Amino acid sequence: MKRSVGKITFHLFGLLLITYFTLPMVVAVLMSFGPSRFLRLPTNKWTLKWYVEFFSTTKWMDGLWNSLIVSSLTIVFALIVGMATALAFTKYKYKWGAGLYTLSLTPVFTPAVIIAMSLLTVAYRTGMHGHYTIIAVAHSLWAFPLVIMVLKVSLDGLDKSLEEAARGMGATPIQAFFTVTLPLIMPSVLVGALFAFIISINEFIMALFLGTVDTETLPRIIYPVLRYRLTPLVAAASGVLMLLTVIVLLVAARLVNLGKLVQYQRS
Amino acid sequence: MNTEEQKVVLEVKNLTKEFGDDTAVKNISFDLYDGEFLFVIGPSGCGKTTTLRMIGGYESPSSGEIRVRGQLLNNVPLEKRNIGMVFQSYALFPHMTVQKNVEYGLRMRGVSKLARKKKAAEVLSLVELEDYAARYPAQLSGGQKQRVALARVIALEPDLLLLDEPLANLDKRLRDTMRIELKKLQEKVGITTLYVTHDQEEALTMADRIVVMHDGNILQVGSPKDVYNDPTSQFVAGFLGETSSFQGKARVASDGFNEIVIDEAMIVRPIATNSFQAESSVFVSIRPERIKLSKEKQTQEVNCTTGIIDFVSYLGSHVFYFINILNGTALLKASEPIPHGEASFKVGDFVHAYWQEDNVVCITDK
Amino acid sequence: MTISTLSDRLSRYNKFFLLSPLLFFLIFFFAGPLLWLFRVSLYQSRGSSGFGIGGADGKEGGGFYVEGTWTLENYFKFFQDEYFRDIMFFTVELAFIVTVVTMLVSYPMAYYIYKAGAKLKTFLLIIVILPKLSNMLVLVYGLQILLANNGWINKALVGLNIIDEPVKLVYTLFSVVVSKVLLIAPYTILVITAALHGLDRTLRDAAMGLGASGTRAFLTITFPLSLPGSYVALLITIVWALGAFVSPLLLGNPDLQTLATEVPKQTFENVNWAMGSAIAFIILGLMFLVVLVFNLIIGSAIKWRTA
Repeated sequence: MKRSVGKITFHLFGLLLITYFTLPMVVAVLMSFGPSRFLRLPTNKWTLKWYVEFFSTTKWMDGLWNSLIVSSLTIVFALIVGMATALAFTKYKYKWGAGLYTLSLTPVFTPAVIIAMSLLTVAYRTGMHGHYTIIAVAHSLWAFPLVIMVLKVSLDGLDKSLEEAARGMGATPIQAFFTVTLPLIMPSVLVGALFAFIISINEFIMALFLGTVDTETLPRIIYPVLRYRLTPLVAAASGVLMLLTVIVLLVAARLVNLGKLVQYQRS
Repeated sequence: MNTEEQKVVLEVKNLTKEFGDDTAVKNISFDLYDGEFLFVIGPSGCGKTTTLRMIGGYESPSSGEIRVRGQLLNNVPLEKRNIGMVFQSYALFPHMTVQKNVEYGLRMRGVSKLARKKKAAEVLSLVELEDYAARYPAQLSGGQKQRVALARVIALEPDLLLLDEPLANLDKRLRDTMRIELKKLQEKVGITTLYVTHDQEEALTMADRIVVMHDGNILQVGSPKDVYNDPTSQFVAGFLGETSSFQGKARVASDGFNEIVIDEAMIVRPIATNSFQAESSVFVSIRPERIKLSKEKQTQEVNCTTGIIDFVSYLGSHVFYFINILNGTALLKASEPIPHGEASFKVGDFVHAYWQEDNVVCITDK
Repeated sequence: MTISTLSDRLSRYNKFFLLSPLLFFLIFFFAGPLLWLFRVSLYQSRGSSGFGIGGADGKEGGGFYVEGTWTLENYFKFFQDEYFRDIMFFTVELAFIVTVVTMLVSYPMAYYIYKAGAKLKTFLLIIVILPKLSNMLVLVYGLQILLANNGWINKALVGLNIIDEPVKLVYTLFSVVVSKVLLIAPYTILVITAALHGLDRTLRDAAMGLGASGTRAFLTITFPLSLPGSYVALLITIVWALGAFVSPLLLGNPDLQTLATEVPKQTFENVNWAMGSAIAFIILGLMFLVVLVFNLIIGSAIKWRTA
């Protein structure tokens, strides 16, 4: 008896936490389809007017466009740094390897305000301020450590003799990489790219510090609205961000071709 | 097999490999002849795999020479060497079908699609996997993977085939079948092959010649028969097959023959061609299947001992006796074929063990 | 004697070539800027004026700091001014509360996930990661709506007769903590879940086989062994909590501001970059200090335990 009471409390606790984790998001999504500035449930007046307004306002659309540019750049930066580093640490031994590896992961544990402020001071000096690149650089500081971690796991799991076998059959190191290693780590590369995209598209503090009117990303436009004037339009904007994330997730899943992946990893 | 006029395919000369302070391979030399099936065997860490990897180009030697058909390979990158390698893990590309795996090397060499297809079909039929061309490696059994790995390199018609413990990942039954298949295939294709293993049984059943390595050195090179019957070192005697070895002192008997006394109780007399320095330390080694057991005392005075059976190991076709001899200070191993399924002795039996002069192997090195 | 093949030489070149993107980013976009941040914090502030915008060129009438100066006055000002001191104390206080609440939420949740069956586990992991996949502003917006005076929470509490009239929940310490925990907990839960899954499950079975009850097996085996992983989670939580920015800014009130929110205030509103940099650097210093202290106290205790 005592045991089952404990079990029920345990599950109730779990349920409570699930609610805590999901409810704010659910409410935000509901708001974006709601008719008024305040949430009154139940309502039968669901509407898409906020989305219509979002897509017909130049400011919001520019923000969306800027967000996409910055996140694309972030993916490129994060993948270049992450892939090269993961390959380096899998293939070679370095004198200060352990320390350097830890150092390569530290940016992700650095709060946004610090990264943002330090890059701001440098961006002004170098004339990079107001350019998409500096925002993407800031975002990739959070993204590339994740790419390194994901790819490192994937590369460590690869049979080293695969690449050797390719070389032994006449492939140059570059051919071996592109025909054997890369296809096999492709799922992890895509997961890394996905992380980079999600971080960049949602990041707000660095974008606030490093962006200008010309490079305002979507979260940076949402922020003042949220602070000074609550409107379901921000819910719609957030909805668009979420939708983007979901689409990218689905496309990635499609590209990775999960079924096939499962098939050849079942060895 | 390995007569002088045969062509040398691989020539290894004074090969050494150092890893930091460790010397994995110590100044070894050997040749490999055309069409030969050469085994390099030794316990793990003896340097055999490192040797193989240096020949294949996967490691670079610290010093020494590797030549294939006279051409020095030391500075040839591995993709430019025409040497096929089958890995212990098979290293089949999991994202390619069997067909694509087999075509891979040809594709890298720029062979046309049509020629690739033809060659792939040819080698796949050679290993009897024609029907599996469209499968992925994950859909194959261990033995089939093994054959694909082999087909993939045979398709390139390499000068030399390297096999790194190719049967180690298979279960015992399959390993025994694959052993025969592999040997037959090697003879059919006539490809010069270097095979690395720690499994002495594989070496004895398949090899034309065996190179025994230990601790980075080559201890002995010879045919399976030579290496088994005339090991030149205690290590080789113990590593290939079962044996009982004893250390004793050499002396000249009253009748003028050389003999070795063990523990001042057991006298071992090898064939007369052996000669030793008096009082020198000699190891003798006797294979278990050459030892005969009896309950009655034998007439011979030398090459015999008595003991009590300590353990009987039943192996189906024969039994293995572990006999405590010399008052329990030494162990003698003897085997007995049991065609009728019954062992002649049981634990605790007192037995007389005896053997022939020509079954005694004497090793004077340490 | 070493024979170097062409591929050896190529690979030696490759060895350092592959590290160059990382080093480039770490030096020019991470370590370098942090150093420069420190340098900027040592500039003399150029008073406060609305027309500072125009770049740090040091020309009269423009710039966010006075070029060529070296001074500690920003740091002195920070530690002498009660305004900044209060903010610092509140930042530490908030970090403490958030850390405690996050750990209290995360450990049971991680354990719940650890104990769950395969399907429920996947579902729970998705739920936990979900806040991280979405925009933090979405969460803040959702919480603003939920916690409003006429929001669901108040309505539910009134409906259940727990309270007579709505309580102010939003723009209070409560809403700041609730949102900050929601932003950090996914990391903490994932790290602890990973730590729990890294444990040898047979140890617990062995303990129960030796007669320990489920609860005792947890208390004597699972919990102590999960401490090192939980410690990492704790450090991550503290670091993030000290950098709290969005929660106090959007769900707090003027009395509930942190050092992090003070950075853009000084930088953009007061156009005082030197002060903004100094505060950013002080946050960094606080983090190092806390991690260091924790490492000395808890870290050594846990190391001893698992040695």
